[in-house]
Amino acid sequence: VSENPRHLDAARAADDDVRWTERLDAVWRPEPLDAAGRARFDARLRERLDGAADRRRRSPLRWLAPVATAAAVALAVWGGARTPTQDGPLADGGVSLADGGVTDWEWDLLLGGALAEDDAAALPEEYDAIASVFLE
Amino acid sequence: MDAGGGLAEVAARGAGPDAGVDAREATGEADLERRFAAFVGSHRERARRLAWRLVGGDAGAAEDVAQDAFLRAWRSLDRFRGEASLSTWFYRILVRQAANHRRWRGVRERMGGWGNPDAAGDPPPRGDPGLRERIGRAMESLTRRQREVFVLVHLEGFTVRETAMLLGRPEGTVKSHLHRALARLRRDLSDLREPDGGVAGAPDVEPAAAGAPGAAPRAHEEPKP
Repeated sequence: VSENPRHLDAARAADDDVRWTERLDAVWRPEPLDAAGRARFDARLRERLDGAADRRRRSPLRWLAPVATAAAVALAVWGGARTPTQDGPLADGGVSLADGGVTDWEWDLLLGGALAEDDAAALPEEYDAIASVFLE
Repeated sequence: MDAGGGLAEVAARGAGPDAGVDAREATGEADLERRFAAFVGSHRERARRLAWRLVGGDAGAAEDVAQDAFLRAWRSLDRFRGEASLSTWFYRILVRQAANHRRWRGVRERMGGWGNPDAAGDPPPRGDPGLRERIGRAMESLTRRQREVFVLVHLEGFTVRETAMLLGRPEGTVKSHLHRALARLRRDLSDLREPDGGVAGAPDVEPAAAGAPGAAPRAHEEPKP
């Protein structure tokens, strides 16, 4: 332990901060959930998971995924057929999709995000908040 | 947490409409379900408490925020191999959701007539409601970053490094926010002292409660997963 008075003061101040924070922590906290509260929380989460799954099943855009996949394959084949045998740009300046250089965002752009695993996940983060204001 | 059924079962149904034909896929999903149920069981209380503190003591809002974060965790569960990376990501989402909630609550309040959609179903915390209100006001007076850093480090026991990762800020910035937040709160709540200090209006919650089961770990402790 340091004998330096400045260090001792600093240590005392730090201890005081810790005690003060502990007091705040003891007061500024919600009651922990009891068994019934946990069950209620889980039931609501279960309901929301179910709702999300149902919405995904009912989504009118679900048909887009297989269609978009087929379109992507067709585009790739078409692009491959137009790829010149030599290195360099296509004669008409087009973009080749068959050289493996298509990035994720390009796929997203091409397919309109239809291949996103979860429609909701593809939405902007603010969407939930907006929805809670205007849809509830 | 009913890891065997309940959420795990629902998670299975929510996994995807076309899932389940391939045995390997089914096994993978069952594993995801178990992980999710265990994850909710491990983090439910802490997530709810952190959200409660970040949204200013509103139990209904805290539950919404925690549940939103869990829903996002479920959607992204398969992207994370380890629990540690998932929980870091999860709390990052939760902190952001809480900030979004506060922002939109402000909009609702300004627009008026929307009422408070967050009907708190939980019993109010024990202790002096007046003191809690004062603490709430003092917390509101902090900047968003100061509040987040103070709650994460001093009340929820995340380390400075973890907090820097959660908030995507340098450790030095976190320390700076922490210092200012503590100084301001200590100034605004200068009478929040030990009970033997004889201060009027001191909280009626015993200090031992801070070490009670379920209490947040202190700043010098590693948070439990």
